[in-house]
This record gives sequence, structure tokens and C-alpha cells, in this order.
Amino acid sequence: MSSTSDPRAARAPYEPPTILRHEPQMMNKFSRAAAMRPETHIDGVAVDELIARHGSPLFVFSERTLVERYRELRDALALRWPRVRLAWSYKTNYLDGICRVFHREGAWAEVVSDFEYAKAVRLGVPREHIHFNGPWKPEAALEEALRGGSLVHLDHFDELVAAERIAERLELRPQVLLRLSLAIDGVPAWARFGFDLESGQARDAVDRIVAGGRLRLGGLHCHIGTFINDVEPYRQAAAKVARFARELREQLDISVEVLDLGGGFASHNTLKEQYLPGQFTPSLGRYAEAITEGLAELDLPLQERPTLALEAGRALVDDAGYLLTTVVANKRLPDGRRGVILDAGVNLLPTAWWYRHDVVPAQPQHGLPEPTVLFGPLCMNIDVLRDTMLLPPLRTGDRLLFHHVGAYNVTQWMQFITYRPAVVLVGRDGRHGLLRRREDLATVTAPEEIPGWL
Amino acid sequence: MAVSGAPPAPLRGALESFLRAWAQVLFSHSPRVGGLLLLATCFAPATALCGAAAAALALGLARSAGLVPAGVTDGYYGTNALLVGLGVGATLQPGGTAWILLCLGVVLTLIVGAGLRSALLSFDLPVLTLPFLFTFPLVLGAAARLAAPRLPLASPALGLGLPPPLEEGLLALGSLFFVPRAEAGAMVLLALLVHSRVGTLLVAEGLLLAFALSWLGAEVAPGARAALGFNLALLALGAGGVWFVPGPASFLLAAAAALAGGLVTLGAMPVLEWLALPLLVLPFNVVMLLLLLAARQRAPHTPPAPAPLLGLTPEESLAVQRTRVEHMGGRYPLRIGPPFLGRWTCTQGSAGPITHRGPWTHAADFEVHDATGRAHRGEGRRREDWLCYHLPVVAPADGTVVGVRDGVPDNEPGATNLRENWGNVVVLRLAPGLYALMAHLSPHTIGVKEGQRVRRGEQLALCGSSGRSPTPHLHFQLQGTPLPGAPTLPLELHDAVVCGDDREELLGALVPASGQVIRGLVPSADMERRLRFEDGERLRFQVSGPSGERIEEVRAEVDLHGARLLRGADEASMEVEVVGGLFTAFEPRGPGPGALDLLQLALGRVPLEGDPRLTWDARLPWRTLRARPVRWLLDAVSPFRLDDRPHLRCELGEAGADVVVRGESVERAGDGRALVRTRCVLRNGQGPVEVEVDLGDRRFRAVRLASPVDPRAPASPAPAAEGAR
Amino acid sequence: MLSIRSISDVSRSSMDPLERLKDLAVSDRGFVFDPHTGATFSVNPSGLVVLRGLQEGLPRARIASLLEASFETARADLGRDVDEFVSMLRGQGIVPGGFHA
Repeated sequence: MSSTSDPRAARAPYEPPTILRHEPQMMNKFSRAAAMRPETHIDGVAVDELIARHGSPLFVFSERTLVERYRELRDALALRWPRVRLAWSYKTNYLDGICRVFHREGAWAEVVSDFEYAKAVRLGVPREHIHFNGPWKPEAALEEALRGGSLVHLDHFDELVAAERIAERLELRPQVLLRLSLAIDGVPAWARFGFDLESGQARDAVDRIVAGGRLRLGGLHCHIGTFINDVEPYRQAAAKVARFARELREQLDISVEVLDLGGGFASHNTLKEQYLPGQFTPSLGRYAEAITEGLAELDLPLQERPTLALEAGRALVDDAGYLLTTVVANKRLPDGRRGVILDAGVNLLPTAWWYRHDVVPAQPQHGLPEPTVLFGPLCMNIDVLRDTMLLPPLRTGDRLLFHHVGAYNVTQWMQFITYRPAVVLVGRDGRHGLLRRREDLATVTAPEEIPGWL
Repeated sequence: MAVSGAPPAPLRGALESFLRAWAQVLFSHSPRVGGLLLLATCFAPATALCGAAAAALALGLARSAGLVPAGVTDGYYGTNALLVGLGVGATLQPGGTAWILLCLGVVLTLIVGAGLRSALLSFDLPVLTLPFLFTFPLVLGAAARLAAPRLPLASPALGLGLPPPLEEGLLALGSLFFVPRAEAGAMVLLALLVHSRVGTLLVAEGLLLAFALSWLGAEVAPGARAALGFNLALLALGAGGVWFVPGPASFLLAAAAALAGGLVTLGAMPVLEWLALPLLVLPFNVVMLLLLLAARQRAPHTPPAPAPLLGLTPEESLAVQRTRVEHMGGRYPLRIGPPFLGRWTCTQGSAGPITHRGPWTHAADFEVHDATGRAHRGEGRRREDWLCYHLPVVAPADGTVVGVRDGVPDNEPGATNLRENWGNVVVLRLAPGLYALMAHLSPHTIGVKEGQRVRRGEQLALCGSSGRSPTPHLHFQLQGTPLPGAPTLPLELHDAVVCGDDREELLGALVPASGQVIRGLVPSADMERRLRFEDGERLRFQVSGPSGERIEEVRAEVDLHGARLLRGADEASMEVEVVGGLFTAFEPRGPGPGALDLLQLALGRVPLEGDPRLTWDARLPWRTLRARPVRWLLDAVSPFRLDDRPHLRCELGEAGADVVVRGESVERAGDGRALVRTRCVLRNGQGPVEVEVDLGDRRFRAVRLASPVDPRAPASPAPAAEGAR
Repeated sequence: MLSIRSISDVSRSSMDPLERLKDLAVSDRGFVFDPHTGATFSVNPSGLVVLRGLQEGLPRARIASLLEASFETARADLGRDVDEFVSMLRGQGIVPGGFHA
């Protein structure tokens, strides 16, 4: 029968119910406004200790969060689909240590360039476990991928022809996937990628592959956008891909082995133009539910269904990344707002262009919060990390903690004006170690040369 | 029937078949044993000559008559003829008439043998030595008619001065082959020892009982005493180790069979004397056949267990049975997986405190919990908030749908329906007397109908909260009859994985307990490819060990039933099997140690998932790696001891693109090192390329070589640094 | 889940109080977002239970018994606490005056 245990196994002590508005003037002991509560530790390791060991500014990643997010997505899919595969999107964060955490959990690799491909191979990822995406795959990389048994996702007809040629020359019969471009309600169409489904281009591509007799269609791939914080587009996309797969099965007798629904799931960041705060991003379980429900259009019994693959990036790593930064100066701006200059600029945190990051003091603060602008140390007017948020008074040497910076920052950051800082990983048992050393002059000047005549 | 290898050369093959005819008298398939038995009969040269001639004639005739080759090569058709020949040689004076009678006897034996085989095989019964029993009295009768001179009855030669029980026992053994001499009996005993130590113990048991019986009555003539001896010996051997797995229960059964045989022998003697018919092996045949028929009336899983395969020595039989039990808990004839996908948490196990009591003790409730241990989102006040609600419920094994109940509504969380206890259910028939029931399913989500055959993993319905179910969950139980509410059978999940934080453990048979997070195995195509042996595939290994090096070729075969067999040198063979994502290699048969033994030790049990966090246990035999005297001693004791097989803790690792299966025994040697360490490298597209078994003082290694026929073998095994895992 | 991208998506005309309550986005941690005003709030665990109950339109007595089931309390009149909470909601402009559970 059932376990009739109360869902809340141990009952918490009772406090009368209250509700508190998040207002700047309300500073009392009940307040739970995020900006008020300092966070002095990351996964049990003190911020001060991390900065003392590795300097400031500092990117910190939490192994526990990485593993939790990965397993959350994997488990949510595994409950609904018999064969599931997750490929880690290297472009989101290709640091060896981060990739290794995901590969250790069983993830494959998703790469979009010859550089990323080589990096994955160097890290020890078997070539057969690499998804190779992207609109430009240089000939040499394409050849290496086909020869190694990687899963190449074809983006356009030129690439299809090139792949056939290479396969012919090497006498291979490789499996490839077709990237489909779909029209989805509520999501801007990315028509520039892949073969269009609605216009029949995708079907032409399949016919072309069959006619060519050299490539084998291993599956279908789509990637509908980025930072999609609604599950309905995925339900639609899954249904469209599934219908197409069924059409291929019924009309051409082709049973694809893999359906790759790409990624693009939102993290808990809040886009600048987004009204709904990032806390309300759907859980990974909801995405999994919508996708598997959409795929029911395959109309196949469970054991005959193809493998479901996803290429998640941001949703797995964003929440695991933190940026620690130190206040180096205070200013009073003419319009009355306080300006704070930090030692990390937008060159290190390009996602500051897109998000209103959650920023929290890393030590207890006193005093009333007031509108504050967070500037970086660069000599550029656009170097604003956070525009007008409520923060208590900060003194030089105080630390701030930026949340949800794990995605794209350590791949898109630029060495501009300042060195790029160290990146560390905090392990599940409280150990911490370097993922990437802090740059120094030698790092920057090593590739430079001076032409002979100067 | 017996497993036999294709003879590499016709002459050698013929010789082996010939020798096997001798060995079959003791239920052995080893030409070596046959050779020793041949030598035993040479103590009476004329008898031996007649026997050999009869066997050779029979095999030659059988082959030219086109009888099924397996029956020829394993010596089946030769055995009965052999006994007729031996009998003729021992009873009739040499001469033309004797030879003619011999030939006619052989022909008749062949016909009767083939005929009985057709008849009895459909009843799944062996023919034993019934053809001989039928033919020989006819030969004797004909001899009397033809006035062929008979030899004087040889008085049993009691020359060795051994204590009476031993001497009589040896005499009986010799008399089985129509050579009533203790020396011959000693040779037969030697052959028996070489064949099987357990078999020797069983024969001794039979002989002792015979001696006891004849000691009770002084009137029994020596010749009759010998007949009593060898009949009871054969019965003890057959019941104790050939058709049943040796163990304490089988030794009891052997004694019972022997005593029953004693009754038949003593009781039949006066009648047969009056009819002037010889006793021969009549009691053995009669009692053995009756015993096999009677055994079918037993409840399943009563010891002794029937032999898992025929054609094995008792020790091999015991070893295979132990591995089977190990793998499937020994209780059910098939593997039962979890009735869901992914990781679920057991919230109430067998004998659970809430509802799993009395006749419904054996059951398990499952829910899905998130990483913090909650079973629902938010407050859990809507059904949809519960994480397991509307998740697929799948068939735990192949079966037939025998019962469906639908239409019971789902309850709101907190409410329960006591009228329709079980809510919506699906009942599957997995095997005779074994049914699986899944309850509290969501209404109108059951996609199967009564009478439908379903495969393991097929979706049956969605999880709901109907019936006596205050919150959504899945109830799963096994029972002996199809009706919901039937008393439950002990619940086991086979080859299930228990998930911990960092480690996951694969268990052969798991009884779900409250709090465990459980999932099934999900095979990966990659691992499946690494352990797939195609029909006709040949693997060449260089096998090296303490006794030297040699090159051995292993051939893979797939038989009519889909069973996969690997054949090695010296007639060695090994079954491998892939079920539900688990690869199993069973005990190899044949003298070891060869490539097959090494493969089985290293790959005895391998989950076909590439997850390096998975660990599992394997208990594997290593008898072929032990020195022969130790092996013999252990064999003799094996039915009574608990396994001395080492527990290997196994895990997967990666070395570049290769997968490495590593095992280390829990048992330690004196210096703290593991007793046994195994390692096998599996390469994509080629399978096993390197196997190592380390016993501390000895190391065995098998390295894959390029074989001229196999285009996929490596040129040389590429060295790879092993990844940390 | 709401996927409101801009404030213009939401009508500001007077609404049925239950609808208004249902429009509140409430996270498992007690973070509350009111799309009609853009204001954010925090509720404590007992407040979360009450708010969710109100969103489902449960009567006062039922909400009070939910509180009793969910927390260790010896207090007799949990219904009073529910009323107090509702008056806080009124004070914050989340529900109109005159609204009762």
C-alpha cells in the first residue's frame, strides 16, 4: 500500500505567518531580502580564506552544485525515457576541471569548433562520445571527427557534401545527425542554423543522404534558442522533431537512433528586460516533462524509442559559479547615487551585459541600504557591473559575491586592461583547488613577437 | 546431451568417440577416463577384445547408417554395444558362434538404442543402458539355442588381501565391466577419481550400502553381491551427482535411491533366477528412470536441485548451479527488474510496518524523491505536485497480461479509497505460478489488454494514486496466483542497482528495503559492442602462465536457441549470456587453465553500462587455477562446504578509449594483498584484448593477437596509461 | 508558471481577489512576486502554507488545520493567525479591503 508519512517528516516549530515587502527602508531582523543577508561562505569554505589563498577578484565554482544540477536533469529524464544521454556544452565553460566533473558523471562532450574538439580529446573524452555542432567545421576537423566516429551534426548542404566527400575518400560509412531549424511560438526563430523543417529543406537533406548512399542518418538535432525560461517551446519542438522522425520511419523506413533536443534552458539569472525574477525559472524536471511529453508523437513503445540526448550548458553550470570581488573605492555620483568601484570589470563578467546579477555582501553589513551603482576598474564608461541596486554602505576592502556567473564568463571574458583572475573549484568535502591560474605578465606576453625591423 | 567439440582430425575423432563409449558407463565424457576404463578391462584380455570390437563396430555402423553425429561422437551408441560385447566376451567361449552373436547383438543394440532415444527424448528421459538390458539376455538365450559353449563362471578373484568391504567394492566395480577382479576394479576406481572426486564419494556410498545389505544376509552369492554393488553404486552416482546437483540433500537422495535399488535387486533375484535371466543393470535402470519421473512431482526449489545441464561432471554441475543461484537468487527461473524507469526510492519494503503484513508481507512501495529527499514539489497538496505522479510504469520481465482493473479514480493527496483497495492494477504472468502485480495506477492510463504479451521494459500504465493510496506511489508485489489479493511470494529485484551518494552497487538479487534508492541497468550501445561475440568470430590469444606459453584460439558460436558459446582449446567451452544489460560468463568446462578460464574470471559478471561509479560483486570459481592435488581435495569436499570461491569486488575504469574491468578479492592473503586480482581491457570493435589474473604467487595472462581471418584484431595491443578511477 | 515578460501584459483593472492571489508567483522558499505591482515579498514557512491555501480558495478553518498539521504548535486559535495574515495582505495592497478567507 503506501507510506502514509507526512511529507514534512520532522515538523518545524511554529511561528505566526507573516509577509514582508522588500523595501529599502525596512531594515529589521525579519527581513529576508536577498540584498540584506550576507553570504560569507561558499559550500562551507570562507570567502576570506579563498581570497587569501587565490587573490581577488576570484571565480569560484561549487562541485556540489555542478553534480546536483547534472544529476537533477539526468534523473528527471531517466524517470520518463529509457535511454538518455547528456552532452556537456563546452562553449559554456570549457575549463578542464569543470568538464571532467561532468564527464565523471557520465556526460559526453558537445563541441562547436576544432579547438573545442581538440580540447575534449586532450581531456580524454573518447571520440565516439563527442557531438560536433556548429556552422563551420574546417575540413581537417571534420575529417578527424568522421574518422574518429564522432557524431557530426550537419548544418547545411555544403557541409553535407563535404562530409560525403571525406567519407568517400576514407572509405567510411559514418553516422551523422541533421540539425533542424523549427518555427516555435514564443521563441525567436534561429533560421540561420540547420535545415529548415517547415519548408521541406530537412526532408530534402534526408533524401539527399539516402540517395548519396555514403552517410547514414543517425538522428535528428535541434537547438531552439538560448535562455528560454518557459517549457512550452520545448514541448512544441519535441513534438515537431518527433513527428518528423515518425514521418521518416513511416515513409522511408528510417529509424533514427538519437533525438538531440539541444539546450538553451534558462538558469536562475534574471535577464535585464525580464520582468519575472530568475527565481521562477522552471525546474529542470519541468523541462524534462515537457520534452518527453512532446516526444510522445513518436508513437513508439518505450523500448523502441531512440536515445534522447540533450546538450545542456547554462542550466547546469550557471548556478555553480560565483565571482568574488573587492571594493576598491567609493564615490558619490552627482545624482545622489553611490558609486562603488570593484576590482572586477565587465571584461571579466561579460554576462553583466545581459543579466541583473544577484549581488550580496560577503560580510555582515550595517547601515541603511541606498541606491548603488557597481562599476568595474576599467577606464571605460560602459564598465558597469550592476546598475542601481540597493546595497548597504560598503567600505574599501569589503567583498561582494556575484551569483550565477558559471556560464559563458570564463569562456567569453577578455584580457583587457587587467589580468584575468584565478578560477578555483570548491570540492564537496571542503577542499578547494585551482581550475585556472591567475594570469600574469608572462601569460600575456608569451605569444607576442616583435618583427625584425622594429 | 553432451557438449562435444568438432574433432580436428577424423582419426583422432574416431578414437575419442571410441574411448568415450567406455567413459559413458560412468556418465563421463572424457576420452582419458575412457582410456583408463579400457585398461581396466584388459585384465581379462578376451573380454576386452570383444568389448572393443563391439564398440568399434557399433560406432562404425552408426556413422554409416547416418545416425545423428552427436550421438556418435559422444559415444552414446558405443556404450550399450560395448557392454554387450564385454558380456559376450566374458560369458561365451571364443569361436565363430560367439562372434556372430556379438555382431547381431551390436546391430540389435543400435536399433533399440536409436529407437528408445526417439521415444524417451520426448519425455525428457535418458535411455541409460536399456538397449543393453534388452539385447544381452536375448543374446544369451540365442547362445543357448545355438548351443554355443559357455565359459565357466569366473569365480571372483579375491587376491589382494584387502579388507572385505574394499575388496568387494573393487570386485563390484570390475564386475560392472564383466571383469570380476579386484585389480580391474582398482583401475575403474582410478578412472572414477580422474573423472570426478565427488563421483567417487558417491560410488563409495553406494558400495558401502551394498556391502551393508549383503552383510545382513549371508545367503547372497558372491556374483550377486557384485551385482548388488555395481547397481547401487551407479544409482548413488546418478542420483547424487549426475541428474541432481551434488550437495548434502543429493547424498541423501543417493542413499535412498541405492536402498531402493537394493530392494529391487534382492527382490528381483529369485524371479530372474527362475526365469534364468541375468540381473545385469536392471535395478539401476528401473530405479533411476522411476526416480527421474518421481522427482517431477516435487515443489520447485526443493533440494537437491536438478542438474542445470547434462554432460557435466558433478563438480562442474555444482559450480554452474552455484553461479546460477548467485546470479538470480536461486528462487525464480527468470530475472525480474524494477517496474519503472530511472531512480525511485523504496518507501516501504517487505514486512513493512504500515500495510505489508500477513499474507501480503512481500511487497514494495516506491516513490520518486528529489535530491533533498522530498517526494513532491511545493506543499504537495495537488496530485501533480508529487514527483512520481504519471510517470511510466513498465513490465518488470517478459510476460502475459492476465488481469487489468481500470476506472478507479485517483485520490487527492491525503484521501484514500478503502473500498477499492488496490485501485487500478495490472497483473502479469511471468512464469507458471509466478505473477507480478502493479497497483494504484492512474485511471485510463493502462495501455495493455488482457491476453497481451509484453516484453520487459514495455510501458503498462502511468503511476497514480488510486485505491488505498493517500499519496501517489507505486505498489509492486509477486504472487503465486493471478488474483489481486493473493498471498505474496518473496520479492526480489535482479541485477538492480542501489544508488548511494557517490557509489552505486549492482546486486544480483535485491530485496527492496525502505529508504533505498533503486534503479535498473540501462545498457549502453558502446559497452554492448565491446562484449558482443558474433557467431563464428575467432579470437586468438597468447596465453601465458607459470607452466609456459601457448597460443589458443577461441571460437564463438550461437546455437539454435540463441545461446552463445565460446569454445577454446582442449574441448573447453563456456556459455556467455546477456540479459537485461548484464553480461555473464558461466563456468568453463574442460581442463584448465586456458583463455576461457581467464576470461571467465575477469568477465564473470559485467554490467553493460559505462558508468565508472558502478561496483558489483562476483563470486567466481578458481578451481582450474589451483594446483591439481588441492583441486581434487576441494572438489571432494565441495558439496558440503560453503563456497570457497573468492568474492571479487569489481569496477570499471577507463584507459584512453578502452574500458577496463577490474576485480579484487575481498579475501586477503597473509601479507594483506588481495588473494585474487583480475583485469580485462575491452576495446571498442574488438572486445577483450588483454586479460590478467594475479594470484599473488602466480600470474596468468592472455593477450590478443591478430588472427589471419579476423580483420578487426589489433596489430599490437596499444599501451595506454590508466585513468584515475 | 508565469512567463510574463513585461508589465503591459498584465491588466491593472480591479480583479476578483482570488484571481489576484492566484497571479502571485510564490516560490518554494517563500519568495513572492506580485506581477501587478512588480513588488516582491518574503513569507515565512507558516505564511507560505497560508498563502498557498488562500490561492486555492480554501476556507479559513481548513487553512488553520493545515497549519496545525504542518507545525509543532500548542496554540489554540490558529484561525486568528490566518485572519492576521489576511489583514497583512490587505495592508500590502495584495487583496482589497473586505476580503476574507
